[in-house]
Amino acid sequence: VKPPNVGELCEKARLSLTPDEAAEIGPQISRVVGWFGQLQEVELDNVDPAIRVGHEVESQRGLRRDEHLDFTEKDSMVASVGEKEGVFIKVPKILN
Amino acid sequence: MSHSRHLLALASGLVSTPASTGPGNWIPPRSPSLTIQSFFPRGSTTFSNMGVNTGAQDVVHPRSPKSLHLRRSFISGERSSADCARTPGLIVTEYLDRLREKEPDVKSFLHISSSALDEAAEIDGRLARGDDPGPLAGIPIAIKDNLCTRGMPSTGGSRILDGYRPPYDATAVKRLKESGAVLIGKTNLDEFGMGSSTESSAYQVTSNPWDLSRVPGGSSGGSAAAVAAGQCACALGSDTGGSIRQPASFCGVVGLKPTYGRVSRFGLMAYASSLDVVGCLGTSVDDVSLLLTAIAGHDPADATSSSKVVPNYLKALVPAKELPGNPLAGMKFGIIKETIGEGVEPAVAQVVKNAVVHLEKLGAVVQEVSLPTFSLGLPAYYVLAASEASSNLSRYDGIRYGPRVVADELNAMYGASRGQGFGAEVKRRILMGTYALSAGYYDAFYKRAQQVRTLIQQDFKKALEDGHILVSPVAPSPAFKIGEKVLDPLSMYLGDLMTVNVNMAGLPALSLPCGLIEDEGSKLPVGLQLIGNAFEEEELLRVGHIFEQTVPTW
Repeated sequence: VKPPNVGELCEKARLSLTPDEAAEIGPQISRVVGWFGQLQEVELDNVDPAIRVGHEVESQRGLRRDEHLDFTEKDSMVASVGEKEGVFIKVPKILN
Repeated sequence: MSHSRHLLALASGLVSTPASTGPGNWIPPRSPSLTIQSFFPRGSTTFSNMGVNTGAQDVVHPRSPKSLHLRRSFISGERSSADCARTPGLIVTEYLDRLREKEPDVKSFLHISSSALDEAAEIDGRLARGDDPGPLAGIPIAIKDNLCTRGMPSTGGSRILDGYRPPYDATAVKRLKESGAVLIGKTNLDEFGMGSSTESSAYQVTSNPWDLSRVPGGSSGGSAAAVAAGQCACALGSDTGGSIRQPASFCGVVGLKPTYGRVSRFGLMAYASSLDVVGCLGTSVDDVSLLLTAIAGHDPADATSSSKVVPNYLKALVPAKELPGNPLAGMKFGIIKETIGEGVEPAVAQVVKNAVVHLEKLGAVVQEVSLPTFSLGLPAYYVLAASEASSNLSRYDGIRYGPRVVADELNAMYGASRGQGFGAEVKRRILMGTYALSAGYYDAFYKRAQQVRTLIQQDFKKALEDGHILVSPVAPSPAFKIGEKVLDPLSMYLGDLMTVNVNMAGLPALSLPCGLIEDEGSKLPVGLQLIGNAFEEEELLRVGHIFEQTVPTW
């Protein structure tokens, strides 16, 4: 496994770091990822991966009724948005 | 002990101020002089001669069920001769006064409610009319700031939600309001729940009321400190890898992590969705039981919430004077071998072993049990948590809520808003999670962590099968100094050893104050962790209550 490349990861995570931050975070992440390496040393053949907790969560067996529900807080949600123009949320242009 | 003496104790407790022994050092007024490292005497500990605290002035007293007393005094109308009317208005005023008095030192709150007194007055009115004000009426409760509260800001301890006011209440918050509780404020936390000291809050560092130079633990450090300092009667927190239990241990209060699915997560800012739970902190098991009863239960808005019936958790608790001679007779406990050996401070291991002796004297059988994959849980947890966090935190894009950094182009705007809005620890975890989930790395990290998760679940299942309740310390050390671990993230993670596995299995666990350790002139609390089977909070609380009723006072 290749060690973490901070630049690539920042691109994927849409996170911008200053050069100083990147210089500090790089070694910290590498150290922790190295510590994750213990997981490679364990015998795990024939063990199923657990997606969730051990007990069954019964709600997942059922689906809710197919009925219309009104969401009443649209106005206050929209109020949290920084930049708007009419009914649109305004964002910077998307370059490719 | 008569009810009016309880009220007297409560009344005097409420108006006392802690003794100060010098700058930055606060010791609860009635701490006994300890020369031993725990408060368990070596000889026999019969609980028949241990009364309930008799008028302790100490607001940090670990066994005083403040919320329960408050409720009983309102409903029964009993008044002691020492005071005239213990109305919700008066109680909330007193708590607010004490909150403000302690706040410059402890700094547990990010926001103090401006409507608390109005809400209390409204409950006064309901009581006066003879209406039932609800099971938590008038009780001042603090809410961790990663739970959405409509009337108050909710920042998650992060700059990226600076100024954010949610348009809705978290379900747990809504249920508290419906029970008549007065939400006194929002407490400080490690940013988005990521941390074990509350030092990674973007806003302020909270101090441990037992020693202001030390951390309160995390991530629910603000809630734990607020309860310990008497700034609120009880509090809500969240626990993803120990974030309720460890601060409860560091601050000498009771903390409950419920079973995954017991309490709705709707309105809890998601950190790791398969691990997060909402839970309770209080000065005693009674209060935590009262709180859990109010907030637990199925929620259509949370597909992972359980439809299992919620019992009245308070009903299972038996007062000390009604307990039989051997109240834990027939009960089996398993102390987890891997938690009392290497990697745990000897003083902590000793305090926990003394607590085990106490359990035995109450009639229990305590054996050593082994959970062989125990230590693997920590790296597995951090892989899973960081991975889930990297996904959950992608919603913070600077567009729909929170501050936005101006940029010419969309990706640059995302990068800058997130880069400036998130703190260092959050950024580390997002990047590590992104790494673990990258194409080609899934098998090496994420899948293996999930497989370890299966093994841990199997180990717990086996150990709990024989009707054991599992016992361990909550943390390998008492509260450490502020700044001690910030430079080395890994050293911070290692402190979570005792708690993360419980989240991976989704089990309930209780952290109970069980002793004090002396370190550099400060007395620091140590917590005992009790772990039970899924949805068996009743049993944990019953046992915890017996334990706390029968140990000596601080």
